[in-house]
This record gives sequence, structure tokens and C-alpha cells, in this order.
Amino acid sequence: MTLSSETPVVILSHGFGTDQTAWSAIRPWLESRFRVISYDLAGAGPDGAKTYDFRQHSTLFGFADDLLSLLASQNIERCIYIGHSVSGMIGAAAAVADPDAFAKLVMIGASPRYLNDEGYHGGFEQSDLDGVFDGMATNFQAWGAGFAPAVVGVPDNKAIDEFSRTLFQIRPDIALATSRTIFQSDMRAVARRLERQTHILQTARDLAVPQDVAAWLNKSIDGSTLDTLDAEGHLPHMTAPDEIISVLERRLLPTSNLA
Amino acid sequence: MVLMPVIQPGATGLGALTCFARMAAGADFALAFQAGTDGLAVPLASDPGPLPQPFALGRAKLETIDWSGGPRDVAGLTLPSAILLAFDQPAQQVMFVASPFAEETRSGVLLIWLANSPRRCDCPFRDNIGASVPLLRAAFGQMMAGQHEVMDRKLASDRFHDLFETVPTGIVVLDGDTTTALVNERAAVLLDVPAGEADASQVGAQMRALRDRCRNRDSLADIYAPLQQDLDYSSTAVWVTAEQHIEVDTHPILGHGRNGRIWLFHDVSARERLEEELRHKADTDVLTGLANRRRFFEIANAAVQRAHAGQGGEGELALLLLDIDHFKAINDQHGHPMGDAVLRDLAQRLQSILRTRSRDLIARVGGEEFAVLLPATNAEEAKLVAGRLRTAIADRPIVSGETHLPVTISLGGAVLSTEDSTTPRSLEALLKVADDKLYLAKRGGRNRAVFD
Repeated sequence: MTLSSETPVVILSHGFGTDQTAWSAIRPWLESRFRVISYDLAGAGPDGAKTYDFRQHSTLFGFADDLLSLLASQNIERCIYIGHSVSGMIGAAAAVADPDAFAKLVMIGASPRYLNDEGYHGGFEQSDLDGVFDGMATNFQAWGAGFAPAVVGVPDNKAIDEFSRTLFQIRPDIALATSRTIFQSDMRAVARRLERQTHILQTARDLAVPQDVAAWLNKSIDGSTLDTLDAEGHLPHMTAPDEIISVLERRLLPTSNLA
Repeated sequence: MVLMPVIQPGATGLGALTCFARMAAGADFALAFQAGTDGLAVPLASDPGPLPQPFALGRAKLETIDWSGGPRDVAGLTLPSAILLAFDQPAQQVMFVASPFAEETRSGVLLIWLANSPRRCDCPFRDNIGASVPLLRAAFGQMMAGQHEVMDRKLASDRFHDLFETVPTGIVVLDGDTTTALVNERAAVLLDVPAGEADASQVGAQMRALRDRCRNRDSLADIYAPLQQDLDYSSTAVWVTAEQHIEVDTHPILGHGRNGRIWLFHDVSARERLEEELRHKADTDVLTGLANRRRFFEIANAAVQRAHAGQGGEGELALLLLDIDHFKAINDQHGHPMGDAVLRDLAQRLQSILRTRSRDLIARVGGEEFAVLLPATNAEEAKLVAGRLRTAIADRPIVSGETHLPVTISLGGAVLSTEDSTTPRSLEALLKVADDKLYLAKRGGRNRAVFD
């Protein structure tokens, strides 16, 4: 865990396949304005094998409890939360369980459910996901080599290399278990109960999250905003940091005095 | 109306008790979980279901809170998010009945009341919930310990089953009562008995039948004879059937006084084949397929010793050394491929002469030099054999392609007789004599055999 500067506090929570180094492109901008705390999700980062528990982290609530414990251990009473990908719903769960701890949430490329359902387009069929899980289980390296460029979504070799580095840092069995937990999750009921101000950021084309999902979140979370970035891929904070910063500037700064 | 707990068929006692506790307390949700010092709560029963996933208790120190005043407000209790978010409405009140058991010191029953709950409490305890539900504490502790034990047993049994069926070994476990046998799939196929629990006498009969079909059944019978008396007997032996080599390990289980026994059947055919192949390669001359020099000395040394011991004959043994006449000229005039063809053809002819005498050994011991060992053979017989070998070569030319090549051999012989102290005693001495005679045969005009 790394922290710097003074209040208000911004919590940075990364997504699957990355670790807290994923924030390095937008971090300087945030640090000049907030006290910034980032952390590694259980299973990710250099100590991933030690922090991950196959039972506790079999649901996203296990990750949400980790987040709430982090806030408590750092004596943070109120934070601005920025979560990428799976961390969008981890933040949502934590903010429903303990609303007072969250002033607002920013979700980048978040999805409450990846599977299609009646009246809901999550983007994946169960057979798609089974293919993903089989691929991961059979040969994690080979699977990752194909997954990295697809999820980055733009020909940015530096981002692909960086994503690959952090992806392969995850122990393969933990990566498989985590991706199952994420892709099989249904957090729609939690998202509907979220009562904190939420800003949804979405790129124009994202392999993991269709536009319909961002629209669903926007509709289901009261008072939320949706910004579609002039960028593509699932990792805009790495590949298009300026786009992210310009939205954060608009969405966070007017209320940044909020204690 | 008093709501009666609806106990599902097949539900556990703990499930029924959890259901009862929820109804009695008028709560919306009841969850019995086990948790130890690591703080990971593993749900054992919930009402309503389904059973939630395991969750970390984290900062929620439920067991240290004084619940004597009844349910408390959720705020400030830092309940796990999985519990707080398990319902459509926010959880409002919570109560915990600590029911520690064994190592699971943070176990207990969590009761939850939701905000704007549609449920109403019509139970007899309604005015005194805080005092009455904790009365179930001891019952919950016992039930959870029981459930925990069932799950532990199931886990142990699952692990055993995985091990039992995935090891590459046939396993038969004969129970201490000597009436039942546990047989895994591999052993079932091998012994042609049903897998799983089987009748011990049937399995035993099939094992004996397999043993009796083995080529080495006599030595196996000796190996397993002590089994009749010695319950602690253990052994490892290879059973050689027509199809495979099976390494069979047996040892007692459950110690003294309990007649349990395990049999392990491990297919070592591949290993045996490889060893046989390596042995063959190490012993064989590549060009002619005859035994090589190494093999010859091994066998010949043993034969000399046996002759001295008076075994396998009347203490007699003959040795022939033979050499192809003018072999260098054949190579020079017709090339090495022709030389190789001569060696191969010659080896075949010599071997076919000796084939009727199963104990004889012919080996290629040098470039164009061969040695023949004739156990239990006296000088007269050895001379006959030498003559047959010589004529088998000299009779007709060796044919390779268009070439018809007359070839002859010269032989020198030596005989060991334990009754005649003038004959050579050692293999070295025999070879020396035979080599001298071979030299004489060459000098005497070739195409002949010379003895003493």
C-alpha cells in the first residue's frame, strides 16, 4: 500500500490482470490534488499468493470486505473511490455495506454481470466463459498471450507488455479462480442499491464490457453519470490517461473540498 | 397464527434447529457458521437458503459483544458485506448466539432482521428474544460439532477415494474382519471382480487364480507360503503372466491382532520390457545377432565353475575357437559389405548346427573370430560338433547378390575334464589351448579342426 499528500482521500482499486502499478499514468495528476492510496487486490501483485484465500475470495464480497478493512486500518472515514473493471462492483458492494465511508465512486469499465440474461446484454454466453476458463486451465501462458492484446484493445505495445507482466505475476490457479468469481458474478442487485454518487467511465469499444452494460449501470444507479471516453479497449487508464484525467477533472474537482 | 418451522425433507438436524431459531426469534435470516481463529466463517446451515459462500468475519468481533440485551442495530458492527448484501433490503438488526466447539472458537448463529421487514414475530418468545434464543447455544454447539465432523469425514473419504482410484496401481484392501474386500477399478479389471466393496473370498479366489496362471507360479507359491501362518508377512514379487509383468506388494494393515491386509498390483511390463531390451543390447553382437564377447565370458566362466562343481554333466566341458580363412582377402577383394554378409550368413549356419543342442553357446568374440561353448561335452562329441560346423561352411559358397563366394573356417578345440588332471582347469587355460590349436589348424592348411 502506498500513500501520499493530504485529504481528501482517493482510493485506487485496480482490475483483474493488473496490480496497483496500473495507475502510474494518472497517479501524478491525482497526487497533486488528493491524498492517494492504492492497493493490490487479493491474489494480485507480488504478494498475491499470500493475500488470496480460495474460500474467502470465492465471491466479490470477500474483496469488498478487504477494502472496508483497508479503510478502517487507515482510519479513512470517507473516500473518493476509483475502481477499474471488477473493482467497480467491489466498490459498489463496499459502499452499500458501509455507505458513510464513500463520498463518491468512479467506475472505469465496470460490469455488474458479464453473462447475458433475459433483458440484459452482458456480452458473454456461458459457452464463451467456459472456453475462457478451459483456455486458462490448459495453458495459462498461451491463453494470456492472446488475452493481453485483446483486452488492451489498442495496438499499444507498452500497455500490452505491462498488462502481460502483471497478469503472469498471478499464480495460474488463483488467476483461474479469480476470473471465475468475476465472470460468474451477478452484482446487479447490489448496483441497484448503491446510493452514493457514481461516475461511470466507459470506452467506445471494450472487449469485456459492452456499451449496453454501461447504459444499464447508468440507468440503475440513481444520479449516476456516464462518460464515454474517446478511447478504445478495457484499460483506458493505461492507454488513454489524458482522457481519464479530463473526465476526472470535470467530475471530481468541483466537489473535491468535500470532507 | 403461529408459524411452524417447515423442515425440508433431507434437511440436517442443524438445518432444522436453525430454521426453528429464526422462527422463534421472528428474524428474517438465520445462519449457523463455523469459524476458527483465522476468522473465515464457513456456513453450515441457513434459513432461508441457499447456503451462502464462506466469508471473512474480519473486524466483526461478534463473539466478544454482550448480546444479553437482545438484538442490536447493524450500524457500527462491521458485519461482513456478504451478510449485509444478501437481502433485497438493508439489514437493520442483528443478534449472535456464540456456539464455540472444538477449535472453531468463533462459531455461532447469526440472526438478522431486515428494515421494513414484512415478517411479523408471532412466536411465544416475542417479548424476551434476547433471553430465549441463547438457550439454544448448547444445542447449536453440539449440532455444529456433529455437522463439522460429518463434513470432515466426507472430506477424508473424498480424498481417500481420489487417491484410491487415481494411483496407477491396482489395490485390494482386505478388511480386518476377513469377509469384505475393497477393490479399486484397476484391481477390479485385473482380477475380473466388481470394483468397490466385494466379497473377500471371491477376491481371494481370483487372486489365487491369477497367480496360478503365472509362468512363475511355483516360485510364487513358495513366496506366499508363509502367509498361512504369519499375519505380519510382507513381500514384493513379480507375477509373470502371459500378457504382463505385475509387481505385487502385500503387507499387513492395522497392525497386530487385526487380520487386515493390503495387496498392491503394479504393472511393470513396460519396465521389464525395457530392461530385457537393454540386457539383450548389452549382450548381443549388433552385426550377427549372436552373443557378444562380454556375454560369452559371463556364461563361459559360470559353465567352468559348474563343471568343477560337478553340476549339469559329468564334469566335462568343451570350447571351440574358430576363425574365417582369408577373411582379410574377402574384405579387400569384395568390399566390407560383402565381408559383413559373410559374417551374417556364417553366423546363421553355425547357429543352426548348434540349435539342436540347447545348452551350447556361440558368440562373436573378435572381428572374424567366434567362440563356441559346449557344456557337458567330452572330446569325442566336441570333435563331431567341430566337424559339422566346418562342413556347414565349406559345403556351399556364401551367396550375396550375384557373388558366390566359397568360404572355409579353421577351428581349434580344448576340453576340460575334472577327472583328468592334465586338462586345462580355468577358462583362460582353455582359451589358451584352443587358440594354440587354431593356430595349428591355420598352419596345417586351414579348413580343418585341431584338437589335442
